[in-house]
Amino acid sequence: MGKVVGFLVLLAGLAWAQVPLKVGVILPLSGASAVSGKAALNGIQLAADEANAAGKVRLELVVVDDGTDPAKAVPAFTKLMTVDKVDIVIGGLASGVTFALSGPVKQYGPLFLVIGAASSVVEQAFEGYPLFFHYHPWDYHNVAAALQFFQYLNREHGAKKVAILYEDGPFGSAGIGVYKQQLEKLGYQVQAEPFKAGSGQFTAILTRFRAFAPDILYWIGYDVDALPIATQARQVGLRPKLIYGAPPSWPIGFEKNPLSNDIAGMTAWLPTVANAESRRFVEAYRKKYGEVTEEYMAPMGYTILKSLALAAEKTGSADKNRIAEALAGLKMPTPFGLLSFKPSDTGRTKYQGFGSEIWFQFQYLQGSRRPVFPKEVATRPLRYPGEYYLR
Amino acid sequence: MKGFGHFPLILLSLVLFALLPFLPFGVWQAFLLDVGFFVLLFTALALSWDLVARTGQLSLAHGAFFGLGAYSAGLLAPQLGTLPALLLGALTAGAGALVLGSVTLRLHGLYFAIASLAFSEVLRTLALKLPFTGGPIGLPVPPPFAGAWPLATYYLSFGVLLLATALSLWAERSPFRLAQAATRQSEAVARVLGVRVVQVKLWSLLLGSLVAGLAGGVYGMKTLFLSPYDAFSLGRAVEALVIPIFGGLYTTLGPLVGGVVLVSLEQALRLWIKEGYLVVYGAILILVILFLPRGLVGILGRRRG
Repeated sequence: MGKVVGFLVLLAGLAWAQVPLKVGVILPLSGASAVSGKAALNGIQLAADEANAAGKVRLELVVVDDGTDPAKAVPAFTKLMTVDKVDIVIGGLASGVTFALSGPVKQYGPLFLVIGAASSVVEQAFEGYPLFFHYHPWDYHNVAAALQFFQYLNREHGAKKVAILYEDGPFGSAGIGVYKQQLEKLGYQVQAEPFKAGSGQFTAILTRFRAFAPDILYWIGYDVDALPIATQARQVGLRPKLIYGAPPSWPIGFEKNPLSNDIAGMTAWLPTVANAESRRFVEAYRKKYGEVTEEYMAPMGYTILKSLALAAEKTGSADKNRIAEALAGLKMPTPFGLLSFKPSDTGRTKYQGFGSEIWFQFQYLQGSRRPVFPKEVATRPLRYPGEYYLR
Repeated sequence: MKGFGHFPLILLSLVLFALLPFLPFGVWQAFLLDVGFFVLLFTALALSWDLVARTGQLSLAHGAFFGLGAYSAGLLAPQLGTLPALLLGALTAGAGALVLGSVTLRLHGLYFAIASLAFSEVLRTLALKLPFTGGPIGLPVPPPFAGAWPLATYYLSFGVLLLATALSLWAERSPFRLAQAATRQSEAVARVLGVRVVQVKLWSLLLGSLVAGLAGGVYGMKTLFLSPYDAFSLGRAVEALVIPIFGGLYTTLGPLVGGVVLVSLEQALRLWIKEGYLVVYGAILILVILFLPRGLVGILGRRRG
């Protein structure tokens, strides 16, 4: 009897020692960004399971769908704040939706851990908000990382001409002027032309590019454009030395298509990344979901929840201000490398997690994506010139 | 007097919306106010679309009027303040409707729909390219009255719905209804009867666009940010036409009931079903369209014989 009572007391003590933490998660589980949103949620749930199993914190997730639409996101966020009464929110994947949340966030004052929202317009919207932790790099970090690669191509491979094919929507058109200007500053001749998003028709533009004879064909668009561009570039006989793409995600199974070979792009993470945290994440993800993801939002979600659990563990409290303090001083290995917070480059926000250092360039080589630049992360040398012609 | 047959129901729903912020919903209060805001706004947009549909024209330009109003109000609000900016936003949308209407209103049905779709595309492209709109990066919009009054956006959207309802009731009650119905049923016969068909269509489009522009302006002040793809979205125009079809076309009560049920239903399904809620939402839409060809208000009509 005494042993049973002792055991119960021990159990009660353990439960009491756990930090209970109710966390709101607002992500696009439907709408345009649903693929990234679901990947992020998988990562978050995986990390929550691990944290709960470790026993020091007891996490309860309240998940709502923002629909990639401000009209749906605002009520969903209000519900988290007023009905579910959470003090900590993970979310903010699409920039437009995150901007719409800036008003309610300032009104209710939660600790807001932001997973995406790379547009620096969001940075302005949250200027001065003390509990804003932005993990994802800002858009200027993305530009810096891509330009570093182009500088390398110019210096080491003598690339001089870039033809830019960009979609006419916000994703492709934002910052195109800056890109063009910066590339010209690096010594490139640039010819840029927009295409209608989702049209799948590129032959007219690619034929015009043929006269320009670019060294690099750089397309800024969505995953659906990848295959038509790879095919039509060959059809019109455009033979750049490198096709470089910058979609938010690549088509599933693209690596299995021989036309993907030698196409290069930029990402923040691949399952083949050789760091211990990344390997651990891939293994745990495979165990829980029975597959491996290539979406970098999955390890990003995982990283955010891990860091939150660690901060809660350190403070031994569920108080958002104390957790924010602990997060601010946190140094933690992640699948992307070391995470620590510092003020953003513009100084507008106080807690910026990752910068341009997490981006790297990869190339589709023999059926998989291989890191090729910078050399610290490269597992294969860049194939330049690549082979982009019909055999 | 068709519109006034349902007047007590319309009045009751308006009174309920006016009192919503003061009803005791406990912890759900703030959430319901946010949902209520979008219900009011999209219902007003649907009523404005129905005003045009009563002439037999299928407008896909309502996203464009919404966007015109949103961008104009968003750009002008920092200089002029909330109400003048909203008013000018509505007038800009009205001016857009006059331009579109004067060129295309001699077209019928689907041809007008295609022209109105092209108009939306042109405006979206302009919003993407013009230097002062923020382009693809988007445009931050200040909250109404510098955020001094938390219920401001709610009551602004209520005001937009009041205006839309008043215009719709007037159109139902006045001889304008007969002109609209004659135009819808047969333009040739309407002309013989002395109806100035193009003028009737132009007035309907103008009134609809003013409400849509106003709704766009208030939307921007709630979401605090506009992007061309959101503000000029075709999805907005489709939403504006689905609601009256769901609730009942060519009436005031139809879009009103349709807006309340459909927007609330979507929010509720999203909350309780989460992933896959669109399957249920779509199935409900299909069932209503299949079995209630006159929309939800068709049930009331049947009861009244």
